[in-house]
Amino acid sequence: MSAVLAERGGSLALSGIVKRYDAAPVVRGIGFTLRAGRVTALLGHNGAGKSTVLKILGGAERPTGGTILLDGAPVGFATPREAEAHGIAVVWQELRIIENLTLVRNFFLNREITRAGLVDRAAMRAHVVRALAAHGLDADPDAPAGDLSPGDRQMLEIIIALDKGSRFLLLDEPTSALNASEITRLLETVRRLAAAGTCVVIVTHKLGEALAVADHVVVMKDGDIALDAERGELSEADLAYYITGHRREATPLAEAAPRSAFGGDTMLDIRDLSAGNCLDASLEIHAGRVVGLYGVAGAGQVDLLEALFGVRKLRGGRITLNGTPYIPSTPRAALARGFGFLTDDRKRNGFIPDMTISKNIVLASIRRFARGPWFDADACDIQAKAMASRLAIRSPLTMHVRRLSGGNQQKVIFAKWVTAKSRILLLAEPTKGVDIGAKAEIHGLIRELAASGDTLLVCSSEIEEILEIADVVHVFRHGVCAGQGIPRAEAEAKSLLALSL
Amino acid sequence: MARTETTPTPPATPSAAAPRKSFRLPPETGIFIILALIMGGMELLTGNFLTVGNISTLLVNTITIGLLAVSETFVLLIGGIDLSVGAVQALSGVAAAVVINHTPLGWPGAILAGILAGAAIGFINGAITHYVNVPSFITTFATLGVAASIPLIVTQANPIPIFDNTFNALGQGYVLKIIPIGVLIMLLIAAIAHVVLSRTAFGVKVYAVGGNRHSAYLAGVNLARIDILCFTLSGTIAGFAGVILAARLASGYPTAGSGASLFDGIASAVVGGVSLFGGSGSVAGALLGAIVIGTLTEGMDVLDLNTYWQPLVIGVVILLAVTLDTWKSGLFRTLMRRIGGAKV
Repeated sequence: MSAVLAERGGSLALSGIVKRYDAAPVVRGIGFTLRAGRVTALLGHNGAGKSTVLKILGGAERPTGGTILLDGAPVGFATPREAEAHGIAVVWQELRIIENLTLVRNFFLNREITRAGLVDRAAMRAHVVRALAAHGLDADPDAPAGDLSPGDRQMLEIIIALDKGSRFLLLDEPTSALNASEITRLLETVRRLAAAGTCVVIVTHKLGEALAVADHVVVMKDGDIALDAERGELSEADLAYYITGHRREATPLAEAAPRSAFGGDTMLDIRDLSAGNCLDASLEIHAGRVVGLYGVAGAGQVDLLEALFGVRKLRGGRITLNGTPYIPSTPRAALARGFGFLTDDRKRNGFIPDMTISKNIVLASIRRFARGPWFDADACDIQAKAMASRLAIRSPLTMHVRRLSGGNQQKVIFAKWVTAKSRILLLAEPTKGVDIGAKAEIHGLIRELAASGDTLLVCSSEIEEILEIADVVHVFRHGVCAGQGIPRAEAEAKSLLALSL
Repeated sequence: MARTETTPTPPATPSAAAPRKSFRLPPETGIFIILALIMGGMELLTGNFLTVGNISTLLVNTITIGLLAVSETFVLLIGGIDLSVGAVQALSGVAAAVVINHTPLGWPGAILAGILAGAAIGFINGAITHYVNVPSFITTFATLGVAASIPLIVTQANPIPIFDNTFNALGQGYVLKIIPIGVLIMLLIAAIAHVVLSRTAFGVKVYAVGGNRHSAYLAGVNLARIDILCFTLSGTIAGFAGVILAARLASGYPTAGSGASLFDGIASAVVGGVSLFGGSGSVAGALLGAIVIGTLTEGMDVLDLNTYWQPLVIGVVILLAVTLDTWKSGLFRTLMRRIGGAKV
């Protein structure tokens, strides 16, 4: 069967690909084959080598050794343009849409249709209108691309790639910034493209998605191929096994002694709070609990956290913290009352990229790490070491945080708030873009902090995550807190999803 | 179905991700090598460049630009830029001259007046940049005009002579007959600034603000305080530079620090590895950068190079130094990979 497919639309094969940057190879002589009309899911930990493979296929990196075979003939790409010329396009996680240019200008960037040396706007616009309609993207071709939702931007990039005649479409974590309905649309598009003969590769951390959409699964681990198989009967547990190298324990957290959803004192009493997209939210938060705030992106739950930390203006409402009124004015004030905030965009505002792990960890409590005016580097190192062993940060502490994997960056941010003795942690998408090993560690840490008496408000757009860690769930829909205080024992994926849409 | 497997190993060990621990050269090594090369080159060309007298002259000529490089470092580190430091020199020099000639405060009052004039301009820069949220390029361009005009208005463009020998010794005197007092002051200020930025909690916060302003804010750093302090320190040190220059010239010179020297402080700091985007670099590097530019100027004088050529040579050296520094930081390698996949 695969021979027939190969005849119809071609194949792209890697053979003996090696890539080394310094001494240590990040890709160790791997090979697999991509075929037209099929969807391949490329899975693995951060650092397993899958991004490097994607870069090699897309012409952004050259392999140190090995060959790439396109329809059986060896090829080499020095630049992404050359790869594109061979029909291979990568849609990177960081999209390349230029926000202040219109859809039409983005669409024809660097390949404008010209007539007599001038840009032929009418022809370009007509072409874009046809292309958008063909793929069911309802958008104004003359609007700036920045006005599109993340999902629509992604779709636009995919349409542009196809318009360039790409037969091989490589998607780098395409669903990480999308909401549930956008994810569904994207996965449908992927299936449709495959049915029409395109080869699609999807790099993802979400195993459910991979199984839902792929015909073929490749798992990378430490630069090698750990699994190269038809999807067949594979389960999520199987994939997790190949990715991490060990069976996931029977979710000890979910099995742990049931904790009452309320219990403990009311620590934080929020009444009629409005800020950003969040409208008149009233929540009662009990000490020592993990409170899940579920909703699709933009439903107001993250705005609530931002308001509590003093980075988003309150339009109304009252907050009582431990019996006394709390007015969140600035992050400094929030810190002083025991709040810590892990934002949903760590690269933009989670840490100081060119500062060491140690200093990032003590930054929010630097006064405690100073003797008079002097910065106490020894105390800082001792604290950082303690945090590193508690949170399993496995990188030298003098390393700049920029160079860490997403999971380790996230742990450094946790360490910062734990060091600051924050008793109420506001976590926005705490496992966004981290690999599944780190994700399990972060979930464990959240439970551990709650067990030690801290209170955690966790926003997540992943139902599974909410169900795994939360004691009690609040569901947000269009800014309104639609489901109030559902204890975990009563929470079900279906009902949460229904409440959120 | 092709199924290949590798035996699962224990969870990700540090071995793959952790870099080998190795002795790391200080980041100022690059600029130090450049300085050594330039000095060696001058010695080869002239045969008598590295003499005590010549080095002493060179350092004396570097005092102003060295202090400006140090002052500029504070502002560059938080991601700002201070265009006013040159004009502040004129303002503080004239302020010192006026105080010494027209008040009974004498040389201590004159020194204080010069420094305070600089601090005031710096404070205004910081407060406006922070609270009005104007880019520092604009704020300091405006105060550059203000600080350059006041001395001209006050003096009607005539230098004010200073006859106080104690004051003038700041710029002309020597310790132990060979070490210029001004050079000592410059080194002392640079050393203090270096320690403040590298060893205090304030310093850590400065790097944090420059490295990622929003993250620092969310970590509770008081941005207003850091912004205003950095600009004020920049102005204060520029004021010091103005006082020492006035002492050297034995006059308050209303046009000091104008013209091409406007950017010397910024150029020195950047040549010395201080990032224009904030968050990285050091005072030691900035000072070495200033000495590089000072050495070049001095060397070209000794070689009797036509003065029309001198800015050209300095411009080329700045480009080379910055390129080399970028290459060292690995950006260059990434760039080469992007544009051609060349092996570097």
